[in-house]
This record gives sequence, C-alpha cells and structure tokens, in this order.
Amino acid sequence: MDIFSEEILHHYKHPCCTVPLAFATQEASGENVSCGDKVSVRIACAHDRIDDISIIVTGCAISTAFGSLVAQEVKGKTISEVLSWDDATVLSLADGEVSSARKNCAFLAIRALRKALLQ
Amino acid sequence: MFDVTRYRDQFPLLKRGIHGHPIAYLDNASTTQKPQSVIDAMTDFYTNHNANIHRGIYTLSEEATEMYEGARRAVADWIGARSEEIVFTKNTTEAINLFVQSWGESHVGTDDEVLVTELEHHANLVPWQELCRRKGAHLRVVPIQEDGTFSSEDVVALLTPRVKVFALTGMSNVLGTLPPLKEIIAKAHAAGVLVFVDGAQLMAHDAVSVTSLNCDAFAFSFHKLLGPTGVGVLYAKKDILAAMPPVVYGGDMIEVVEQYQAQYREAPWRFEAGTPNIAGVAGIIPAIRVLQEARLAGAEEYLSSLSLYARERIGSVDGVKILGPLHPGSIISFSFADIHPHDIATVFDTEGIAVRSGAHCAHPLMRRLGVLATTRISLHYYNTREEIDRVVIALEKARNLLAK
Repeated sequence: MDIFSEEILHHYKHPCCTVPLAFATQEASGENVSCGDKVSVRIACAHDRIDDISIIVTGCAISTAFGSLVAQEVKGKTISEVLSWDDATVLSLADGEVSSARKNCAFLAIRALRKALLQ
Repeated sequence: MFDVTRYRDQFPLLKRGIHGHPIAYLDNASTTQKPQSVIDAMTDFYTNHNANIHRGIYTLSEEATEMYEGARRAVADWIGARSEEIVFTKNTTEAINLFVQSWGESHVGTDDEVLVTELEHHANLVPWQELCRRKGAHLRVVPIQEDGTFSSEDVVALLTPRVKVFALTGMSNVLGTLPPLKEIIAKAHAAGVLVFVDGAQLMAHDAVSVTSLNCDAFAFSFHKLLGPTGVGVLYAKKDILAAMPPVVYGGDMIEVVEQYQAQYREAPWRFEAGTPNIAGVAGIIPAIRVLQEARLAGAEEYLSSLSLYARERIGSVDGVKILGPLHPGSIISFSFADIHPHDIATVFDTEGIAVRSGAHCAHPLMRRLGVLATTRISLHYYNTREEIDRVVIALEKARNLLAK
C-alpha cells in the first residue's frame, strides 16, 4: 500500500516557495506543540490578492508537503477566497487520504496562513 | 526459563493483524495489553457479581465489596504496604493531583520550595507548578546530564531548608532513566524533605517495595501493568495519609452528614468518594498474578536481554541516535536521520508495528535534550527479538521512502 502518495513525497522532498520573502506585508508562525512541527509564513499582498508567499516548515512529511501545496495553490488567489477554504478543501490539495492522526500536520501551514491573512 | 510464546498466548490482542502483518506492539510505556484472565475477571464481575460496594446489605453487594477490598489488600501486599495506605484513583495523574491538592495544599506555604527534575512527565510537573503559583512557593528543578541521568549529589545541592517535598519519577517515560531512588530518599529525609515518587513506569520494570524504598508517597496506574484502564493507586505512609484532608466530597467518604456540616471517614476511604471503577478493580488481582508468575519464571531477565538486543540492533542502524543512558532499559527513544518521528511511526504502522512518536508529555525534557520529538519503543515481556528485527527492516523502509 502507498504510505505517502507520490505527490506528498514530491512536495516533501522538493517543497515549493521555501525561500523566505525579502519583503512581506504580513507574516505569522505556527507550531504543533505535541510533535514540534513548526511553520513560518510570509506573504506579500496587494489589494485583495496574495502576490507572493513563502512557507517554511520544519517538520514531518505531511506538514512539509501541505506547506508546499498550500503555497503553490494560494499564489495569485484572493485573500477572501483562501479564507473561505474549509478543512476538506485543504485536504483535497493532495491525492490520497490523510489519516485522522495526521490531520493536524496537514493543517499546520493553512492555520498559520489564516493568521497572517487576518492581520 | 521464561517461555515468551506461552506468555504471549495469554494475550488475545497479540493475535491481531494490522495492515496484513501480525501486530508488533511496542508502546507498553503508554499502555499494556491485557491477559484473558483480566478481561474475564471484569466480564465475570458484570455477569455474576455486579452491585455497588459498601452500601448494600445483600449478597451481591457483599461479594462486590469483598472483591474490592480484597484487591486493595492484594495491592498493599504486592508493594509492601498496609491496606489503609492504598487509595484507589482513576490513574497516576489523578493520584498525583490528589496528593498535591490534599497534602500539598496543607503543607506547602509562601516561599517554600518544591523540587522536581527535568525528566518529569507533565503529570508530575504541572500540578506542582500550579501549587507553587497558588501558594507563592517556588519550583526548583534538578538538572540532568547529557545522558539523561542525575545523581543524589545533584539533588543534595538543591535541598535548602525551604524545600518541603521532592517529587520525582521512578523511571523516565522517555529515556528509561532510573534515578537512584533509595539513596536519594535517604538523603532527602536527612534534610527533612518528603519524597513523592511517580512510579507509573517503574512498576512495570521492577518489583517495588515501598517499605524498602522508604518513599513517603508513590503513584502508579494498573493499565500499564496488564490491568484495566481507570484504576490507579496513590500510596502514602499511614501518618501522612492521616494528615491529608479530602479533596473530592460526596457519598462513601463520609462518617456523619448533617444539614450544614459533615464528618469524614478515615483514610483511605476518605479519598474515594462516589462509585469507583469497581469492574476495573476486579481486574487487579489477575493482573498481579500474571506479572508475578512471569517474574518468577525469569521474565525480567528476558526483558533485560531483549532490551540489550534492541539497543544493539536499532543502535547499529546508520543514522539512528539513541538518547539517554547507556543501560539496557526497556524504554528506548531515538532519532533517525532527519526523518520526523511521526513519519517513522506511520511507516512502522504499515508494517504492523506500534510505537510512540512525539513529545511524550515531557516538553521541558524535549527542550533540554534539544529535540522536538522522538520515536519511542517500550518493551514488555511479550515482545520478541523477531519484532525488533522487524523494526530494523521498517527503519530501512522509512529511509528509502523519506530520506532527503
């Protein structure tokens, strides 16, 4: 059986958008205290749009992969659209299932991004 | 000679398959599997003897009461205590909280000191933190060496005249560190300091005699000792328990109740308000019996040898770093290359192997060790060398999948 999908493994080994933005309009960080996964999000927004983003995760395969998937997906999107995403939308960014025990890993990046967007 | 196959036969869950593999259950520090005799005792209670205790003047209630108090006597005999020194709680955490909120509240005051160690599980840290905050007392912490140990000299250095109690673990749930308890307790007593031992892990490792240790109070859980969940024990010396006020009030802990006041029963019943986990207590004697029989047959020696095998085999995998002391303890925490413990545990799960990954309810210890999380293997008498070999294969699988 596939423990991690090809897509998750790819984003874990080659995550997108990990060079910290030199200039950011908002930033936020997050942590899963129970396992030590950490994320740092920097965004550059103009009007209602996310022009650029960096998401740096120090953590497990799931949290790193979803950090990359989220960063890739939100670039160019409006803030209001991203804020309207629910949990299911975030999980659908990757193929395959995320087990309930690992869902907090998958949501690490989006939770920090939401904090940044609401500043 | 300890016969591990015969021992395993007593545990129905060990026959389970997980993702097409026979289960390798290596998370015994978290909880242990249950022998059929424990399961049967609980079912038997509900089928044939179910009634509330201490209340009814009828056969069923008398049977239930005799079973409950008989279990208390059995626990007392097992750990070298007296019956009236054994309080049943829900678990170790509740036992510690009970002691802190009862003894702690009435014996720790402003500017007093409470001593703990860097090794503590949150259950034996946070209640003491809160006590100090409430009372204006000060928490002091015995530091550990790089290998996760500390000596009685390290403790003595912190035993000021203001220290009222030293609360420490009998065995680290992360590193397997075994503090030199007897020595530490003697030195603490010489300085007039009371000693509270979190025995949750130690009880699974060794036959404990509280009289021989001479600790003032000791807490543990039966679910880590082949027993049911929902049954823990607070032991405290008779005179200490006698001076402790109740914390939970209600039925069964009272002597006389008038409209505006009540008088409370003596210890230990004063600390057991309401209907307890009677069915859980029914599982105690069979659990003790299985452990004692196994120990008489050499289970501890088997476990030592298995633990050494585990440390050698796992430790020899390229990229594995085992944390903690070098002794062959049955609790082994390690890091592996730059692969996150959650990912290691996920890969292991697909191979039917259950391990714990994370911070193990010991965040200050994780910070002290400079790690965010570890993977932890914790062994019991029913584990085997073949299961350790499977761990090594699973580590290589994790490496192939996830190494960057």
